[in-house]
Amino acid sequence: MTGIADMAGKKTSIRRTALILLAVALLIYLTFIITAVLRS
Amino acid sequence: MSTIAADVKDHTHDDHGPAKGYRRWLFATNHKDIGTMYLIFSFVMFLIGGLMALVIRSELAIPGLQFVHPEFFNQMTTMHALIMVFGAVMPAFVGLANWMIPMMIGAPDMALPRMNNWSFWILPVAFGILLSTLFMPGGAPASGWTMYPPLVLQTGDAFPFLIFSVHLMGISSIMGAINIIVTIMNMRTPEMSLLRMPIFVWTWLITAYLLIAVMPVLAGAVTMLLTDQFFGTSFFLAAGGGDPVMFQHIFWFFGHPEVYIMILPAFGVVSEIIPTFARKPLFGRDSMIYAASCIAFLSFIVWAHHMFTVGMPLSGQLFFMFATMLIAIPTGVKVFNWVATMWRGAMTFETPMLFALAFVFLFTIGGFSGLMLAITPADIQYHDSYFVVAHFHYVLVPGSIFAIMAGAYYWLPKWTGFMYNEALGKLHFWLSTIFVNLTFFPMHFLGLAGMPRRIPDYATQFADFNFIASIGAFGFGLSQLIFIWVLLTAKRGVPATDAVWDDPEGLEWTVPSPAPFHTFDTPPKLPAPKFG
Repeated sequence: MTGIADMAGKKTSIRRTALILLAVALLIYLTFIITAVLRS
Repeated sequence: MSTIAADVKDHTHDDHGPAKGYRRWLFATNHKDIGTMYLIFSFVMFLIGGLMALVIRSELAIPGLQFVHPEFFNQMTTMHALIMVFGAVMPAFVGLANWMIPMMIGAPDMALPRMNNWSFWILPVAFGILLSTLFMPGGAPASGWTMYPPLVLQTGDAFPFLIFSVHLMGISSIMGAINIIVTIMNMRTPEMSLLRMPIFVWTWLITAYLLIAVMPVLAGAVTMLLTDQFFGTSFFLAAGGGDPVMFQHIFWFFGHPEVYIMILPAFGVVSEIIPTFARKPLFGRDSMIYAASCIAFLSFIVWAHHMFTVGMPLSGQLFFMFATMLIAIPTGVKVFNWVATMWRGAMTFETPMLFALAFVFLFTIGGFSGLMLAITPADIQYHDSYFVVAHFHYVLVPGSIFAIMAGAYYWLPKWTGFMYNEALGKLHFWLSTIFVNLTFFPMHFLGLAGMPRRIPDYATQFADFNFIASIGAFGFGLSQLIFIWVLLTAKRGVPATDAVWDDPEGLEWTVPSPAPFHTFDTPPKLPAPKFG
């Protein structure tokens, strides 16, 4: 079955945008913990 | 990464409707079904959190300890806040986003429908875990929604469940935000440039970026609480060389943008409704977008105004005081733009417009008391008093929740295909407005007279205003029964037209009412702007 991303013809762009945003979220999470570890 | 492709091929979505029975909801990937589930879930949470508020107001109706133990009272204040913030207000706006954003931008659905399903179904699990702590040894968390250490580390068996549920809420929010950004950036109909997007879509785009920026910060903070409690670290424990104030900084770096996460979509809803019922274009449309962006930016540099009393250098006090006051400028732009939109408009006052108007008046009261709290020396007096409780409830109840109500009434005919009962809607509005003021306005006076927050008993000098507030709270709670009846009878009214209202602007009003299961098979043409 054709997915929404295929319908939009933007599968690659959709996946890339989602992965970048997920990576940013993980980076922020780790940055705060690592900074706290280094500070303590 | 700009717009939906015009070439739609191999399309197989218009040949099936929703699945039957529980599978439709458990395995839902349709944005409308998921939006409906978000809205129902948030309303259930609103009622549960509201019942907790009534426990609080019952205990505070008269001086002395009446109904509950002080420990349970603290559990109620904590759970009420966590449920209302993460379970009621935020999911309600995500529900509105799910329903409306694809229809507003001409997309067939959200870009990541399966992740959308996951984002929703995590929430009942998270809140099931959180609510289960009420039945655990030691009871539910009782340290306030801010979870300050070292107090929160005294929580009983509930502690790891609290941390786990907050993590789940965060994961759900982040996935929801990713979905919204990806949808807006990739799935708009080709003619819709960013500046032509509806204001509700704009405010949600900004909100989604805020969510991705700050929910991981909260997750980091509670992860460190967990390791402090169970793995021997001392991030926030002074005895081990840690710093409890550091938690407050990290928490409020999340917490203040969180305030705007709960109000920016409300700005968007009100900005959609006022032009429709004033029959004029939104005044200063572009400035509304820039103002929302400014508010989002400023929300990152004001967090320490929540903690002036823990002590900080004078330069810090001055910076956070003035930065906080700066927020009044873009917020003022918005309020004046709404007023200018109505100026000389051919206004009518259906229920959505009434809620939107009350929002403008009453949110502004909350904004002004916020300005008072921004003044460092004054804040040191007001801190942890009922003045603060009055302030944030004005922003969140006749602010965020009234905007959600306004949006629900505004779009309900588009969702159900029928007009709701207007007389009951207006009754719901007037009773809610009267009782919300009866509840929260006296709290200003209580706070200025020195009544602290988060206490189950108080000196007799505070008795009268507390009694009035408790009457107001029960009146507000009972008024919501009218809303339940309006929803239950939502399909008994006259059939709604496609436009529903008097010539509103936006793609969502070009599709039939109720909106079909799959909205746009091909990217729609944008109608010419109605107001030039």
